[in-house]
Amino acid sequence: MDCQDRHHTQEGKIRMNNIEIASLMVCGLPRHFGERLILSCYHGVWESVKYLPSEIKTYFTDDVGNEDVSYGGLLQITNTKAFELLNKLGLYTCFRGVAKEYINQVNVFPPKEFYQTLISELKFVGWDIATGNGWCTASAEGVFPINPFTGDILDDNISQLNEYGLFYSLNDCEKYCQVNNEKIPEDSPWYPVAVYVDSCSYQRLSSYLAAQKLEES
Amino acid sequence: MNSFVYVGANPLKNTDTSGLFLDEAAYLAAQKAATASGVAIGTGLAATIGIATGVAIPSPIGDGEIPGFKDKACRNCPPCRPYAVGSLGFQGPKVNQQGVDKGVPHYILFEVQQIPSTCQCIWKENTKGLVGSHHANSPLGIDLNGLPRPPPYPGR
Repeated sequence: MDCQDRHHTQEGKIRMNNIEIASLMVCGLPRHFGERLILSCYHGVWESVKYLPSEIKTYFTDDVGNEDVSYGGLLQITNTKAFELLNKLGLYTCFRGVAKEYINQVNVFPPKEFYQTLISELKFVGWDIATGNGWCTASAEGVFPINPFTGDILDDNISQLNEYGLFYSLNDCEKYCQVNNEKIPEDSPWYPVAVYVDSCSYQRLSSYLAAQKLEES
Repeated sequence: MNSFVYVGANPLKNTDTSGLFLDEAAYLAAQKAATASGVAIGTGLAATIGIATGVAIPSPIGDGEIPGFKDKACRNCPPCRPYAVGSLGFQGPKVNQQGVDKGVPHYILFEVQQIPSTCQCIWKENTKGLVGSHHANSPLGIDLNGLPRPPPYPGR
């Protein structure tokens, strides 16, 4: 398997200038409905591991920098050796990127310089919508085109979502952020989150998706 | 493996038909018992979905640990006051008008954390990490209603 795919979507390249990686989570296989996987920046939607496997714990801190880390949903990565081990364990990384103006709001302590290098090695997979500092998403608590737990389509804008259950376009994502700000003002601001995975995770997700499509057809 | 973890190891007393909720008292009791016996309580995804490929993957930007990152953690921060690290707070009950939990009352839980590098104390939203569930179905700790999400520390 070749995990050196460094291709990005055009939008991922363009928007990367204003995006900083804030944190990541380590997840299992995401849900899928038909030919669509359901990726998410929220550890309650794309379920993170409850406990990090002991062999990879030392390669992470929690998302504010504490070394004593157990939960897999709110992390910073401190050693790239983790990618290889995660691949062997069949686990996936999910990196969350936010615009620089939101980085203080999410209350994290990322290794910024490291992530500035790492981001060019990650695969951008789409835009999600979150609120607060726990990555709770509009798909779980607000207005979103699909129910991520059942696959039910909730409005006519489902075509705005890509094969990973995320918005193709930042513009569409921002429109939905505004809808959530208006309908659920007590939780505003709702803000866009760029979702990235490492190249190995991306290849395995793509293979899984291809297999699902084949099965559906 | 305890197959009744989703109901706090007590299927006679507890139910969780949606799969999104967990009774915190049952959870905490089960966690305490599990800790004593060395059994993990949680989703256990690492154990259940492992698809080992056995393929060695080159690290994308080198093999080393990030220099100095862990060293930045300050071990000498003053304690968070009035609420110590680990204290819990809640907002809610909240009833979403849209989405998956539409019409279902629930609580958002927050935990006091301290950023080691700055010693700043914060309320961190962490329902999933704290109780292993999407939402809490009972309030725990300090009432943080009326404050933004996330609330500023200390808030009250």
